[in-house]
Amino acid sequence: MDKKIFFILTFFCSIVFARNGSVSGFVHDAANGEAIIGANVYIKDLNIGSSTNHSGYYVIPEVPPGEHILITEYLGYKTDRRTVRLHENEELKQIILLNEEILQAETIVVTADSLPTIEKLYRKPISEISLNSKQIKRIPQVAEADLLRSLQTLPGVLPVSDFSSALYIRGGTSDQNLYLLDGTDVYNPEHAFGLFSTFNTDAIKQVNLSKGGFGAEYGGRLSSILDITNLDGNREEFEGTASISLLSAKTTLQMPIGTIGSVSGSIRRTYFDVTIAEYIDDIPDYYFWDGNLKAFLDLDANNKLTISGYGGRDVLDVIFNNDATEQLGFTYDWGNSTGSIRWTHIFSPQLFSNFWFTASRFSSVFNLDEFDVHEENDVTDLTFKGDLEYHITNELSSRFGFELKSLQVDFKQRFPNGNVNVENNPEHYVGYLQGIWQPNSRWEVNAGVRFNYFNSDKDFQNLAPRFAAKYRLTEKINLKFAAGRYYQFLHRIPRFIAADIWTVSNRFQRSSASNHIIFGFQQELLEDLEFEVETYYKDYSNIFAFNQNFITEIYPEYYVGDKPVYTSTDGLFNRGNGESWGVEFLLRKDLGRLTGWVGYSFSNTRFAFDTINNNERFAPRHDRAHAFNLVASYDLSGRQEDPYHGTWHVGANFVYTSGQPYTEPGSAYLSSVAPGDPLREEYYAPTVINNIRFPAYARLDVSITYKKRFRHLSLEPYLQIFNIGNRKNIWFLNYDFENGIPKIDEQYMLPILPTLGITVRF
Amino acid sequence: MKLISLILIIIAALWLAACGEATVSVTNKSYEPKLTIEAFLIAGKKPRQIRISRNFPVDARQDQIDLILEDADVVITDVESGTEYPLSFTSLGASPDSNWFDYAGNDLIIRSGKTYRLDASAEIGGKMLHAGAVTTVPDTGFEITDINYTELRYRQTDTSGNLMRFFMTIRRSPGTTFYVATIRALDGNRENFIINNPFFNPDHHDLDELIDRLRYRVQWIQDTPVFAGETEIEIYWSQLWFYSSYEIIAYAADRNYKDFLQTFNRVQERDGNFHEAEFHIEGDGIGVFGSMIADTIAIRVIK
Repeated sequence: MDKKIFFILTFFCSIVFARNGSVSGFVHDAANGEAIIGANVYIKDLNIGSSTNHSGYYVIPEVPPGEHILITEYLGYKTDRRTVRLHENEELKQIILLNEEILQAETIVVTADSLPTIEKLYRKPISEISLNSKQIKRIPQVAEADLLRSLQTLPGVLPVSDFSSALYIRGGTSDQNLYLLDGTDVYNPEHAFGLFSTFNTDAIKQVNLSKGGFGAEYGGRLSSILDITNLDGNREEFEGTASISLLSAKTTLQMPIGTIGSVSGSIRRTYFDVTIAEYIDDIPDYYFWDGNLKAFLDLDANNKLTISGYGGRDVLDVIFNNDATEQLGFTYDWGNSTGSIRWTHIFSPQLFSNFWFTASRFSSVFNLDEFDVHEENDVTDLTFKGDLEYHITNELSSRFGFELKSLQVDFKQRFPNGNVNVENNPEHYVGYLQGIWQPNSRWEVNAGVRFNYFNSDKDFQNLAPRFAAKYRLTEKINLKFAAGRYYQFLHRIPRFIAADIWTVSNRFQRSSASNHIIFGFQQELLEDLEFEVETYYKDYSNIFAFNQNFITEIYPEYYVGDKPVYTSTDGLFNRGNGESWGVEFLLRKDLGRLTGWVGYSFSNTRFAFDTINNNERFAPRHDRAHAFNLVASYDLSGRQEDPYHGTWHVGANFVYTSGQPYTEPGSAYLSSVAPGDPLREEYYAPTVINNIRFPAYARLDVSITYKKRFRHLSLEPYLQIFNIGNRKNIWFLNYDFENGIPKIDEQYMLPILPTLGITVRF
Repeated sequence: MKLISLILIIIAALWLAACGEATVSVTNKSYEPKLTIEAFLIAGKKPRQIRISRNFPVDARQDQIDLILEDADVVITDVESGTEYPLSFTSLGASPDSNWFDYAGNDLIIRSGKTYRLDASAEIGGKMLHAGAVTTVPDTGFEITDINYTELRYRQTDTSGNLMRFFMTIRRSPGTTFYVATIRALDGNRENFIINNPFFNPDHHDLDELIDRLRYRVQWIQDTPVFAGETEIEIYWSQLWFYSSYEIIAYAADRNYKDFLQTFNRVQERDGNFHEAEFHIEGDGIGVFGSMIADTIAIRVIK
């Protein structure tokens, strides 16, 4: 009896007092060694698990001793299932290599181990959408795949025209989006006057777009975060792609660095300037190039180093009159350079950290020598930041970090009768802390706060609380909620051809703020269909719109001789407030022969700015009540298992949006320009801002791609047709009079644009 | 196969939905009748050639002469003394350029530094409208003091190959920071238009449309020092389109004219949308009521 009691007690104590260990490590693609972001790692019998972070790291902090089945799952990869044996207090490290899954049938095979779609939906933050390079490339676009244009196909993300890749997210303006490239802020990420983005899709590994309600680790913008992670590089073998299209030629190369890491690089250049522009005088010399270089070094089990760089430049050279003996014109070049060093350090399995030093510079130079006009527009951002994750228990973890940012924001312009010399050198200090608590398997609560101290010619301090909650309503349904306050200390002057000018919060323009409230509903349909509904409300305070009549409002600070010098941003903006609300529906399918999504959004945005529209609210130009998107890619041959047989893919992208607001001139009148002017011409007197709406916008783009693999390379010729219906969507109107008869010239967006190209992989 | 057929049907339907041409018809729902004021008071002269007309909807054909409001009541008031000077309508022909309001008396000469108010009332469509504006004439002291060349060959260079340019020197009016130069080609025509210019190569149609505006050019400088002194103004080669004699009138201008000139023809933004101009007119009016001091010189451009 005593022995029995002794054994029972011993067994009980061994359970109660057995010290839990942990399982941690990295998840990589077996083919190339790339870290996999967002893979799900869990112990099935204990129903505990984790997702890999941006470095591919996971940790399950409290695992009882014993034998367990560790399952790792990621979309498009074979599920890894392994048995792990854990001793008391052991910190077990498991490096997991996932093999890409070759789909066998039209529908995916859902195995007992597969993480259900609803679980994938549950794990991602509210309002976040992830895309990888393959998904971006499947969307037919203008000339070639483009990241920002791909994002414009998602519900809640709108363009303002075909000529712009800028994103207007949930009613916010495009300057309210933070672009992060490998952790580095990017300013004005646009090529070709906004027609294309600066991000080369061949170099992208993953893109996460948060449309709102983001956590305390992100800040500095009111509306959204676009976090782009480039390829680390193939750690197993040399790999390359090269593409040529009517727009550009580009290549991406990846290779291992011995056994300790990898390197990847991309370069792209357009060639209109050496083809069409050589033969047609009216087309100016223009080209852009960009390149990425990234190296990953696996220093040891607990230390990784990533060095990443980007450079790109647009160059424009315009001659006014090619037929004249004397040739005059202007030159304009602009572009970004970024660089980052990231040190990933694992202090302990529970404490994971990333530290970055990043540098980002946007610069543009304009020269018009005839009129002695010279302009330099520069933004330099130097940042040191750290982000740490501490996994306290399986139920409780925290994330905290800091950011020290030094900005140099300059705009210098010399013109015959004066100078603009705006120089700002603010510093931005950030600290944040958030806790993630999972009290049971149904709930997850995330609460945090972000502290900002922004120091320009005026100090700004604020606390930005963030809160998010997830709830599993049923086995197939999740509910989500997020709320937060967001601050922005940068303001932008949009320009049509020339690059936008950034300014900082100062004594004239305060910091902008926004509150987000978001409710989400997620449901798994038919095992591989994701259905999401989100409704949101945002308000804006102290947002700043460029004052179109600024020239009447600015005053010089001092004179050089009798030339005025302008050094402040006073008069450049109108201050305003606003609000947006809406509801979005997304039905998405990522696996099988047919992939893509259907999105619909209903939204309403109203702004009110001092001195505009009699201070009354109006719908901004990017407001559209309804937006419908259908993006689909279909594998016609269904022979993905045998790439040596050619395979055909067709793609389609359909967009329908209700009309944009537009200001109709209230009336016209006759006037001369000066007392002795012999001419009296018609001019327009607009009264109510954005008082009418254009007709609806609609467009269908299609693509067809043939893929065939040979021994050491594969070929992918493709044909894309943008706006195959050649619909004439209105961009804007030109009002004119001819002999007293009113005349409206409708200026249309892009017509039908076919593009041919070929991609070679080797 | 059924799936492929379904996909093709969907694509065909979307294609149909994404065809066609969007058109816009003018609604003019925000049209409101307004008095249009076009009035420039010049120091040392009587108020003259003040045009009062009405605005018009952008969807209707308008005969310009019908826009003239010859029955309008137009009064200029010396704000300091309160004396009112009613203007009378003058018509020299059936052209809008030949119809205006003048002050017929001899007891009102516009003086530098003085403030004047203009009031105009007229009935449009059975509704009585009123508009008013106030201007203060720039202080005395403004004049053109020098011009570096009175004649140059088009884009003439000096012996070192440097481009020679016209520079006019003005003496500033204290308190005035905005100066305008109007450049009129006195004998500009199609024959002496400078085709071989480095700025613009118009075809015949362009030239027909633009030639009147190319004959009369306007440029300005702003935010000069508020105190008295001299400032150079370059007469840009891009304002000289003819082998011709030019009359250049320089103006020291008030705030009303400054804001009007800088905004009235820039109401359409680069993306096509419109915003309001700055008129500084109260009530039911648009346009300009400005005042200025004027001075004149002449230059010549030869082949």
